[in-house]
Amino acid sequence: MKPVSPARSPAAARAARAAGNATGALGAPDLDWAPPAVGTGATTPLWLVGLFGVMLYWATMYLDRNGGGFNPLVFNQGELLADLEARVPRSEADALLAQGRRVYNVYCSACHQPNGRGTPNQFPPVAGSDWVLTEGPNRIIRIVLNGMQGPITVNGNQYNNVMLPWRDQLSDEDIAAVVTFIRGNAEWGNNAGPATPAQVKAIRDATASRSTSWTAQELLGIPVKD
Amino acid sequence: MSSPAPAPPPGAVPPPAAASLAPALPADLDRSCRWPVLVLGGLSAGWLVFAAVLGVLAAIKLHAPGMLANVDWLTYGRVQPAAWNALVFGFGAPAGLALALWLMVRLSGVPLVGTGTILFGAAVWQVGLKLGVLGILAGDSTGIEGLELPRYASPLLLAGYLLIAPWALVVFDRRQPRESYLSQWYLVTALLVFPWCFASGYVLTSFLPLRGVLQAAAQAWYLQQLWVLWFGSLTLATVFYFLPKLTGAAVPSRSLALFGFWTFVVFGGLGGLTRYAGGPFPAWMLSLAVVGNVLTLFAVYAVGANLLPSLHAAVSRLKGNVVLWFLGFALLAWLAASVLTALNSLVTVRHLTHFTLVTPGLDQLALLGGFGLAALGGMYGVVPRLLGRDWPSRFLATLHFGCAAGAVGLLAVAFLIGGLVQGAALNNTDVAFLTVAKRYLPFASTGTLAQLLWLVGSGAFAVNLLWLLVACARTVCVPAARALVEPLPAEGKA
Ligand code: HEC
Repeated sequence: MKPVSPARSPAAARAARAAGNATGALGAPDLDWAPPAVGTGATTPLWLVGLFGVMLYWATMYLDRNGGGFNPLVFNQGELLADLEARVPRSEADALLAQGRRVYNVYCSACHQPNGRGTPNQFPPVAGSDWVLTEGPNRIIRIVLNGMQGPITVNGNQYNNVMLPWRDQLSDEDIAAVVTFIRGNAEWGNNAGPATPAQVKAIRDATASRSTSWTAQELLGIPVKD
Repeated sequence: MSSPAPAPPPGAVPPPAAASLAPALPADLDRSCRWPVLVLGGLSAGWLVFAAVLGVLAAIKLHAPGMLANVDWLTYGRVQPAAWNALVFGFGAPAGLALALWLMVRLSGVPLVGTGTILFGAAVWQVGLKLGVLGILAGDSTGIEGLELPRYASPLLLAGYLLIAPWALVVFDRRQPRESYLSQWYLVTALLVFPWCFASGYVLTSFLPLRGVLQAAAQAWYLQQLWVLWFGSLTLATVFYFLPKLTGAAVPSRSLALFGFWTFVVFGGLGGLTRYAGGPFPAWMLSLAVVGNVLTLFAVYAVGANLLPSLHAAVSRLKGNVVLWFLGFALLAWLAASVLTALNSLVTVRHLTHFTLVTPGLDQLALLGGFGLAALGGMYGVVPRLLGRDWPSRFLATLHFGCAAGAVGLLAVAFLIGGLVQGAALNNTDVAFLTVAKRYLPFASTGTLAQLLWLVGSGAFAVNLLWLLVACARTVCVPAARALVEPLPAEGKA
C-alpha cells in the first residue's frame, strides 16, 4: 500500500481536504489532517523541575522511613527487620522461650525470684541448679506437674520446704515453655536443651493417678532422660 | 458544503511536514479506517447500553436487596461484575481501540492497513466477551474483583486484542510527519500496556494463580495499570487531540508535555496498592504506592498546564458544540480524579476513607467521567467524518451530554460525601454498625439515580447512532435498489 500519492499538488490537496472533510459535527469545525500545534519554544519551568527534585528527595525519605528496607518480611510501615525480630520470635524455639518467660514471671518468680536465684534456706535457685541442668527434663517436668516437698540438696545446699503442684493450672504447652525457659535461659548462664509439649503430655498421662507431691528421694530414682 | 482550509492558529508553529510531504488526504485516511472504527464503535455503543441496564440493576440492589433476589442469574454478586465487565471490556476497550485506530491514522497521515484482520479480531473479542459475561451471569465468575471473566473467555479477549492493536503500531511506525504528536505517545503507551496487564492479571489469578495475599497484590497492580495507564492514556490521547484541534489553541509547551508524559508513565502505574492500605502486604509495596500516587501529580499538573489554554479558548466556542462539552468535562473529571486519588493515598485521609464509598466513587469518576466522556466525545467527533453525514438529532446528543455529565457529577458527589460520612461513622466506636449502614442508604439510592441518568444518556446515544447508520444505509441502498428495480419495466417493454 502506498501511503503518499506524489501526483497530488498542495493546492489540489487543500481543495480536496476542504471538500472531503466538510462535516461539521454538531458545531465542531473541520478537522484537517495536521496534528494540533505544539509550542516548542517554552522549556519546562525551572520551579517545576526544582519542586520535582524536592519531591523525589521526599519520596526517597518516605521509602526509607516506611519501606521496611524493601524486606518482604516487614509488613508494618515504619518498622525495619531488626524491629520486627525484636518483637516477634524468629523460630519455634524462640517462641517457646518467649512464652516460657511469661509463664515464669507469672507462676514461678514469686519463690524462685525473677533472677532465678531463689532465696537462701527457703527457695532453691533454678539458675545454675544441678536439678535443672540435667541431661533431660524428665524430673523437673514432674516437679512442676505435681509439686515437691521434703529435704532436697541443690548445688550442695539443703532445703526443706513445699512447692505446690501446677498440674491443673498449666497446659502441656505452658509447662514445656517454662521448663525450656529455665533450662535454656542464657541470661542465667543456663544452656540445657528444651522440653516439648509431647514430653509433658506423656509424663502427665503416666502420672495421672498420682495425687501427692514428689520427694527428692523418689525423683532421684527416675532417669533424667528417656 | 465548502469551507476554506483552516489557517494555522496564531502563535502556533506550523507542522513542518504539511507542505513538503503532502501526506494522504483526510478523506483517504478516513476511508481506510472507516469499517474497523465503525464496527468497534457501534459494538461498543450496544455494550454501553447493556452495561448501563445491568448497572442500574446492581445499584438498586444496594438499597433494595429484595428486588429479583430469587433469580440466580440476577443476584448482586453476578449482576455487579457482569455490569463492570460489560462496561470495561464491552464499551471501554473497543471504543478506546476505535479511537486509537482513528487518531493514529489521522496523526500519522498514513492509511490503515490490516482492516480484515482487525474486523476478525473484533469478532473474536465479541465472542469472548459474550461468553464471559454470560459465564459470569451463570455463576462462573472467578470471584476476583476486576478479573471475573471465566477461564474460557479471557484468552479470547486477548487474542482479539492482539489481532487489532498491532496495526495501530504499524501505522505509527510508518508515520509521515516523523515528529510525533502528544496523543501518539499516550496511544502507544495504552496499546502496549493493555496486553501486558490483562495477560499478567489473568495468568497470575486464574491460570497460574499466585498464593495468598500476593494474588490480591497482582490484582491491585492490574487494576492500576488498567485504570491509569490504559484508560488514562486513552483519555489523554483523545483530549490532547480534540481540545486543541477544535479550539485552535496551541498546546503551549512540548517540553512540559514530555515531562508530564514521562512522569505519568513512570509513576502512574505504581499506586495500585493504596486500594488495600492496611492489608497484609509488605510495607514497601504500600509505601511505593503512596509515593507513586503523589509523584503522579506532576503529570497531572503538566496536563492541566498544557490543556487549560485550550479549555479557556473553548469557553467562547462552547455554544452548540457537543464534542467540546464532552471533552472539556472529561478533562476536568480526569484532573479531579487524579488529584483526589493522590490525596486519598495519604495515611491521614485514608484513615477516614478506607472501606467506604470513596474508592468506588473515585473509580467511577475516572472511568465514566474521564474515559467515558472522552471516548463518547471522540465518537461524536469521528463518526460523522467517517460517514460524511452529521448526527441526525442534536437534541439527543444534548440530552446525552446532560445525562452523562449529570450522572457522573451525582455519582462523584454522592459517593465522596457518602464515603466521608460513612468513614467518620465507622471510625466512631459509639455508632453501631447498623446505624452506619442506614446512614449510607440515601447515598446508595442517589447512586441508582445517577445510573438511571447514565442509562438514559447511553440510550440517547445509541438511538442517535442507529438513526445515523440507517440514514446512511438508505442513501446508499435506495439508489442501488432503484437501479436494480427500474431497468425491469424497460426490459418488459422491449
Ligand atoms: C510457692 C513457692 C514456689 C513456687 C511458686 C514455685 N516453686 Fe519451685 N520450688 C519451691 C520449693 C520450696 C522447692 C524445693 C522443694 C523442697 O524443698 O522439696 C522448689 C523446687 C523446684 C525445683 C527443683 C529444685 C531447683 O531449684 O532446681 C524446680 C526445677 C522448680 N522448683 C521449678 C519451679 C517452676 C518451673 C515453677 C513455676 C511453674 C515453680 N518452681 C514455682 C517453691 C516454689
